[in-house]
Amino acid sequence: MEIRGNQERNIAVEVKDLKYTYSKGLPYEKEALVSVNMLVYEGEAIGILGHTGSGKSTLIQHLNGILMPESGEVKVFSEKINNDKKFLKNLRRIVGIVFQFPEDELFAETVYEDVSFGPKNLGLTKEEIDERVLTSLIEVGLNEGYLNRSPFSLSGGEKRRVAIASTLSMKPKILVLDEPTSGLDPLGREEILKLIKRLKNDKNVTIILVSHSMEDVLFLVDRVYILNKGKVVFGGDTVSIFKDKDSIEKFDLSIPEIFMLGEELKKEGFDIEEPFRDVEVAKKEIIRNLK
Amino acid sequence: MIGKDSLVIGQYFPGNGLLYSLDPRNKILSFLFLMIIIFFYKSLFSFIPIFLLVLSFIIISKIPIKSILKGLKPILMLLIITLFFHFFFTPGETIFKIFFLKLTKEGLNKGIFIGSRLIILIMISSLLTFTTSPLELTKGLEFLSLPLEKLKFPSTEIIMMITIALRFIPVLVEEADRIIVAQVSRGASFDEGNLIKRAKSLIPILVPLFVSSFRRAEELAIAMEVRCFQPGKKRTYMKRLTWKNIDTIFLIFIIIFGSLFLFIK
Repeated sequence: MEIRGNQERNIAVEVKDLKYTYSKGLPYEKEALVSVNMLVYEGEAIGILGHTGSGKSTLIQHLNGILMPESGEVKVFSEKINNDKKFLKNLRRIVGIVFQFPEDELFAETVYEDVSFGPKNLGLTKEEIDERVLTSLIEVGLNEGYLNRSPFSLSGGEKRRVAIASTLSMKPKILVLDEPTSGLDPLGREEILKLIKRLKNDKNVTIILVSHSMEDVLFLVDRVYILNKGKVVFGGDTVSIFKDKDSIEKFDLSIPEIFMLGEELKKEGFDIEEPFRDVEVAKKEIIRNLK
Repeated sequence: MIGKDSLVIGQYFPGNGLLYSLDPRNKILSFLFLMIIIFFYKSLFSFIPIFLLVLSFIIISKIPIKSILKGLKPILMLLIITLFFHFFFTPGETIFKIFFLKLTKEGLNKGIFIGSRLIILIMISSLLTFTTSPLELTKGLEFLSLPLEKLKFPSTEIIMMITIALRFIPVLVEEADRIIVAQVSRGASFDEGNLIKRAKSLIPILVPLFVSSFRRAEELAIAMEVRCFQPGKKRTYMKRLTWKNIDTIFLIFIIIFGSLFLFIK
């Protein structure tokens, strides 16, 4: 294992030489993952970036055993993912995935029924289910008033939050989110981002964020992996990648405006200690400079 | 998971070759002719040249035999039952007996005859759908059913409905796949418990699928209206069907070839 200075941390996810081909053997077969290596420590937040078709979705579907590796292996908390039914059931409790547009998966008559779907599948008692439903609703910023409402009568942002709550009610140790803020208004987006950050900081949930939004990545994520054509082409620190002009250009990324502001101020001779990851940091640093 | 591989019957197989370059109208007519004419065949030997012809079409179109076999799978049960009843319930000269079941010579002949006819029928129809894209197919059908318009039959509307339905099958399959993956991630399982429990486990898939289908239908209706679509009005096409000389030759060849073996006793 490579020495990273945080060796005391457990490895949450380890992906080794993962390869996957869709419709293998048919004329329209498509090699989605060529060779992916990835390491995620417990309690950290990592980002997976890449263009459409780079294999991001295929990769995350390996993390809870929806897809099985064609070759290579995926380990979650040191256990190799296999096809055993019991193992998979337990794995899906540990690894929660919030897919893109999760509100499209709502199906029940009430919010309660939708959020309790996961815990019910785990075979928990009624009291435990009720408790989990309520805590996860509160976690996403909703309250018990929503329990008996129809999910279809909610607004877009609320629906999204109910859908996220329905994954949180499984109490996952690793939370994978595929474009969790896409299609939301700025306020909805901010709330979702803060919610994810809270989960990471307060509950030590390991976060794997798939996103196109550099702002989201900068705000949430400690390290990033960049995928291109089924391969990891870059892996490293979030702040350092935005500082590195070459990789920005090479991987066709955009630098978030807030981050750029920090860099520009630094160039102008301001004393900026912390890179601007969000408005709060920027505010703090600028005020400190003005004093 | 449903997967895209399991929907073989009626699946287009991109490629090139003689069959791909033919006009869809021609393919529909030729293959329909073959499918009808084999019902008039009286001898098992008539099937052999037809079988070889279909086989050579499969080979020149480079369709893997595996896919053809997959297409035969759904009728396997039907085939077995047909064979069983013909083998054992045709009166005639007994070859051997198990309990009350008598395998007769006539039954054996008849069973094999009808079985091979069924297999050839399926092979011809899958050859058509393997080499013709659904859109081409409906366009061909639309043209061929135009004379029916004279009889006040709403053929363009019906064809438009079929086109839309076909167009959205892959979308729906993909959507279903996506929803299944998401619900499985929330711990759903579809192969546990008794029949009622299993049926109930489909609700989390069917409800979102219906919701999105309705939404999609509405969006499509608006988009069509915006582009001035009016049902029943004559429309024009970007890609027009062209009947080439090779089409005429092919059609005549098929008609002659199919009729040749009509009189083998």
